[in-house]
Amino acid sequence: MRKAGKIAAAALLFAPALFGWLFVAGLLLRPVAAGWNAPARGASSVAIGPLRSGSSHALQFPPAGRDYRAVLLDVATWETAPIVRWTACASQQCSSALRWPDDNGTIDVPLPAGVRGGTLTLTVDWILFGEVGYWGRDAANPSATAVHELGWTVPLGRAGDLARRMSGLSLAIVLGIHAAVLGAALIVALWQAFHRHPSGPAA
Amino acid sequence: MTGAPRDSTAGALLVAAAALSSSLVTAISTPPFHAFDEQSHFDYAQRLAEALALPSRTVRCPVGSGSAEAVGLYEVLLMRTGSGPMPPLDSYRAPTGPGSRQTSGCSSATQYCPLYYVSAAATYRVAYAGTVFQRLFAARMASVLWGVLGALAAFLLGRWWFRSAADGILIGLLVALHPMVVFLSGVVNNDSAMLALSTSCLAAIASLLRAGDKRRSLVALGVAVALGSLTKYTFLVAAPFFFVLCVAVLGIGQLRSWGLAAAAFLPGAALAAAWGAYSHPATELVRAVLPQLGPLDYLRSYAFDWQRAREIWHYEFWMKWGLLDVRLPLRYYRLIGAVLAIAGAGLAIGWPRLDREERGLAVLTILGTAYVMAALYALEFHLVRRTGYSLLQGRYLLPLYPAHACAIVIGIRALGRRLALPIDCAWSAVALLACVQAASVASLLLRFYYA
Repeated sequence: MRKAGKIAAAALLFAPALFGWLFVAGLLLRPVAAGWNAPARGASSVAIGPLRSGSSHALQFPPAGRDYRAVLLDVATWETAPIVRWTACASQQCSSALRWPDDNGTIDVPLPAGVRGGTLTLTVDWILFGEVGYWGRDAANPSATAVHELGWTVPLGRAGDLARRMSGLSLAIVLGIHAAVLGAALIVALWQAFHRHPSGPAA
Repeated sequence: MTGAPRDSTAGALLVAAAALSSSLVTAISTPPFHAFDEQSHFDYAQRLAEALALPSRTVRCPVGSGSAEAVGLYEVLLMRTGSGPMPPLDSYRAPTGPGSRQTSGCSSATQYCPLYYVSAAATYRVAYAGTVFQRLFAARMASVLWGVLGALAAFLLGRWWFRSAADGILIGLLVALHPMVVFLSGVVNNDSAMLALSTSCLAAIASLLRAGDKRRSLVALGVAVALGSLTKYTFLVAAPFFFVLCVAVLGIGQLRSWGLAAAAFLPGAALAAAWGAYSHPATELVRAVLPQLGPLDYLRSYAFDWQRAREIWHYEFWMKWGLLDVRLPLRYYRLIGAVLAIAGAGLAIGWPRLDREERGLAVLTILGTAYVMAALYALEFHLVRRTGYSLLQGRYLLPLYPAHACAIVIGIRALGRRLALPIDCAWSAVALLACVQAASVASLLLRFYYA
């Protein structure tokens, strides 16, 4: 096998790990990018049937003293892995986002600047490769939530509070050590992969 | 067992650090009782620690069983929140007074042998003067210690089986970073002890293959089997697999091998039988209406429901236990599935080039997995008919996971050899599990604390 082919094959065998780390990076960045974590919530209780390309839905959110940054949608899909383009409009202003939702996962649709509550129109521009079933984790519990901003501070702060109450340990220090250990494991894995021949001593 | 070389020390420390930090993060960030049945296991440990007595033997418990403080905490932090974010801790006011900690210990965990609970009670006693939060955390530390022990046993398994300290690290990290193993090692649950001792069994069997003095290895195996038999019934389901593996390592065609293996397993079998005679089984708990289920109905409705099988044997095996636990997004399961498919393809394609030991381990692991699954289905069929409750969860297959990890390494390496790749791609599994671990922690924080 040519050298380029071998490199490609090795990359393919490492592909799950590479994709995994891309997913983790997305997970870590998503709260920052989408503006998760703010406690103000407004839930739409409207169950909507299967969403088709071009369908629009009105959602009501309570007035707030500051801008909503995104609307979070609990969507239901089952192994269909659709790619959906959403557009959220309020007061003649719109913003769009392309999302690839997990099965029964939460997606975020960014809102235009200046939205502080009221009616929000959410449009499904188009859906590829499948169908988004309905709002909510099941038909009886629909959920669409508007959130403000911030990043990881709220979850980390609350978990830190529990850590202090339970153990007196600092969550930040323990998470930092854990990240260092995971990093060390990753470095060792890559080092060993590239410095040990796969035939090894016992293979 | 013979002494391990010096280069093993650093590897063992890395594996222990990975197990310790992973389970510690889980222990301090998973809200109290936000793991299924944790309140039952805690109740058992509290009974032992407070009254130095075993719990009442029945599993038919009145509503609200357990100490006043634990029941109150459970209701505030779990029952009222469902699967939503955790409420502020200040919403719980712990009952005070000498009676607040008293419990009969009656719960779904009372059927289990006290081995694990003695360790949890010991760490509970360390925080005896603390709040219920602190005593729960202290009880969780017993699981953390069992988790570290299991990871070190996995290191020895890899060290012995593959004859290299680096492969000890490889297998050790594959076990230490398994998300469900980590989760069970960070909450109060006797699975942590069961997993540590089943991994110890496999390590002792691997040492039988390599060590000069087999008597010490057999004694170590006998101790691991005896202690493992006192942890959980799922260990007993997996024990025949360990037995056959032991006989295969000693020489399956020799009568002496069977005798030696039987001698190593006999104390464990006797202890399990003794505890079984004492304890009251979970079959005491019976639903009002029992399903009229024949074998074919069961096979059609339960065993051959592929969606259920995937939920149990893939999602729940890796990390999807229940509403209140940390669920990974499905894409991570797909990536893990891709690694398993690569390993399976490697075993199939590289089979002619595998040596006898590699083939033996792969075949026995596959057959052992099929046997344990069949045995659990049979047990579930019996339980559903008798009690109305179904049984299966993917974690019941975890005692075999260290053997799976070895088979995965063999499969990926076989594919790498077949393709003449210049690198050892088996380490990609560690890189994936490290990322899944990071995703688990991030998901846990968002799930329980985002509001």
